[in-house]
Amino acid sequence: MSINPLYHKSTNRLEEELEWISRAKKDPSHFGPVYKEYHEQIFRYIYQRLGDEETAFDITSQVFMKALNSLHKYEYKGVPFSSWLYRIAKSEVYQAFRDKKAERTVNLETIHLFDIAEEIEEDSNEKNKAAILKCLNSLKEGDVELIEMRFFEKRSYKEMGEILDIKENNAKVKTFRALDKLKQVFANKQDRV
Amino acid sequence: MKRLKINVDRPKIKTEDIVSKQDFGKVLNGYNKMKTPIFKKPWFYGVIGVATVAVLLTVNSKTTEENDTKITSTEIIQLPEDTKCIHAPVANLDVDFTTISIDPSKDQTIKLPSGTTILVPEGSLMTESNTEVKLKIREFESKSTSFIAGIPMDYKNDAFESAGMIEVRGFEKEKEITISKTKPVQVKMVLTKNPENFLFWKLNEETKEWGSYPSNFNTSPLTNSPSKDLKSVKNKLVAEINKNEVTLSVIDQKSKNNTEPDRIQHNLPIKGSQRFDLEFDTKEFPELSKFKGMEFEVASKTEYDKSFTKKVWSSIDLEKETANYYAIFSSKKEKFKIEVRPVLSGSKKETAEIEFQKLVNDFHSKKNQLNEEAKIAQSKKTALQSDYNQFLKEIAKNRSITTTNNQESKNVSIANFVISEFGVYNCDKPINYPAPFKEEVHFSFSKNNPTDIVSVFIFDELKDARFTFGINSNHNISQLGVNEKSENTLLAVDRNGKLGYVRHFNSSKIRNSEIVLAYLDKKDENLSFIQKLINENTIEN
Repeated sequence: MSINPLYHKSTNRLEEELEWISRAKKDPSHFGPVYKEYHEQIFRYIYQRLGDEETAFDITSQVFMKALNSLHKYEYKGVPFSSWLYRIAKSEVYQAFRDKKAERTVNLETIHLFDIAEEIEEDSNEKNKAAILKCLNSLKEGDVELIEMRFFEKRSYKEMGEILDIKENNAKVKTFRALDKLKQVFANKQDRV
Repeated sequence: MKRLKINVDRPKIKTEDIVSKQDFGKVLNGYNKMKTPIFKKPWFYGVIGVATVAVLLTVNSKTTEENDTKITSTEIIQLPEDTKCIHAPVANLDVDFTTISIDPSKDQTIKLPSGTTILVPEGSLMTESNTEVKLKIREFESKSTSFIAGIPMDYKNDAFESAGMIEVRGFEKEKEITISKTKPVQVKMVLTKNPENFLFWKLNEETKEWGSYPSNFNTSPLTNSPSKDLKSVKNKLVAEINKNEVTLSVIDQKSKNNTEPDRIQHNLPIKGSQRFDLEFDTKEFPELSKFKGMEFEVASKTEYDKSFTKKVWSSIDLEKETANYYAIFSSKKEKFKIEVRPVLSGSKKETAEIEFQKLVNDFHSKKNQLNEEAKIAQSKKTALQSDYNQFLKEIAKNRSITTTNNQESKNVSIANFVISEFGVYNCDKPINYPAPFKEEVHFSFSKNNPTDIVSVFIFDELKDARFTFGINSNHNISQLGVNEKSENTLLAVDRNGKLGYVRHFNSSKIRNSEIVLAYLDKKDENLSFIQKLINENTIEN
């Protein structure tokens, strides 16, 4: 499965990023390059989970405001700054759901359904694809998120781990468990039919 | 039940479209609105007040008991910065350092309010100028203070029960200094418990681990009786309260003086009023010459017949009675008299409107500013009052200590140790973490509404320890457990720093793998409330 390379950074890039952050800690107006660098990534992450474009842009702005506000607490832990931004974004998205400002939406492409069908060892026919969509609805939010990150957003386990604040291996194990659950729900639905 | 909306093959948004929506200015503006200035934060005055008491106690007890040494000055610093190892878990809440300026070229003994003494021998501090050094010190005498400061309390797989902990840092012109290996600083730390079965530790801030540290324990009479000098502290607090009262009354007076500009006083028309042209002789009314060719507006304060403008009059005259002007409308049939006032019109009015608008804006901005100042002064008043009440309790406490001392000396346990490195030193006993729950739990602030928790703290009253799960702990949240026989309080922090808690926590509080948290209101994010939550309640003692 192809993985989105956007997230990974060279040491030089990480150092440059640290320099930006260090400057922004002293003067928030220096946060501009960080905003430019990550605005699209964070927007796409948010929009992936939402139905409405305008709300996604609003939440994206909110994420950067909150990041600026808490920047003094940010500490480099060897991973890109974006993992910290993603965590804020995740929290803001869920807050929007709680506040009923947005509806939890999963956006995927037909091709992703092939990937999932393959992973759960089922034929990728139209009937099965429709069934997978229904099964997704039966999973817990945490499991949906893992499947979403891995299969719809094409994130590496390393990146998933950093965003979810768990170890890479744990991200892998949890994703497999989520797939297992999906497989189980799928099988149960087939039995009932 | 359908929870998710699923879109398949939704059209993608182009990068250019996303980039075109970038607006860093909006983010900066939002951030500036979000940011609360330090002086507006409620903890500010509380901390300042409490710390003032602490520092003054220090200086006063020092000057009375240690005549041969002199502390040059003291000051309060703002919230301590987090370090690699020490993270205050609650935003805007921390344990302040007391900063003491000392002369490193002489032997110095510092006595803290707890009775702990620190002897800094001459030449012990490695300085460049050897003139003035600032020591920043804070003691953690309870679970609440070490929690608020964010001191890690894990030792390998265990948690620490503490009998006393101190953090000491040294600076010369804001630059961290070191201690001579051959002339270490000597500390006699007053312990809160009998140290039997306790060990002594130093925090390695690089590895974030506690390492065993040499010390010895003894008991000693508590000689700290600063009550004599409390009077000056009281006077200072009272002076602060009075000063704030003056500030409040000045703000009140300024608010009264800040009156909204009146259009009438600026000869500007009032919206909705009837106006008409009126020819008059400037020789008769020279004061109105600047209104020549301008308009008159009805200024009647009582009801009048508004149809007069639609009637045909043979003459209109202007009359002046005392300071008021009247227009007299006459026809063969009737006469109509109405109070009027001259108003500017045309370009004169436009210029006057601009000036008037500026005055209105100035009025509103001054009003807002005064409201803000009043809010700050009011919150300072509350904080000062609370500090004063607390101070009175301290006096009562100190009196009882003095009385006890007169009859019989109060013995306390002391940990004696020397330090050749600044840092955190702790008298502790490792305690086993409770066994994890069989099922993995999740948290919510309202039922069936999971929230993303990053840290969980269990304050165990029986073990007198804090068990930490999640960030900055060796235990994940999935390893959460509790000593069922103990009285426990659970505190949890979500990704946004929002705090929740469960009092009397044990496994019976878990329903369907869910722990429902009570939201800790922002106003309750203070030491006093957290002490109450975890049953320390030291202020109420």
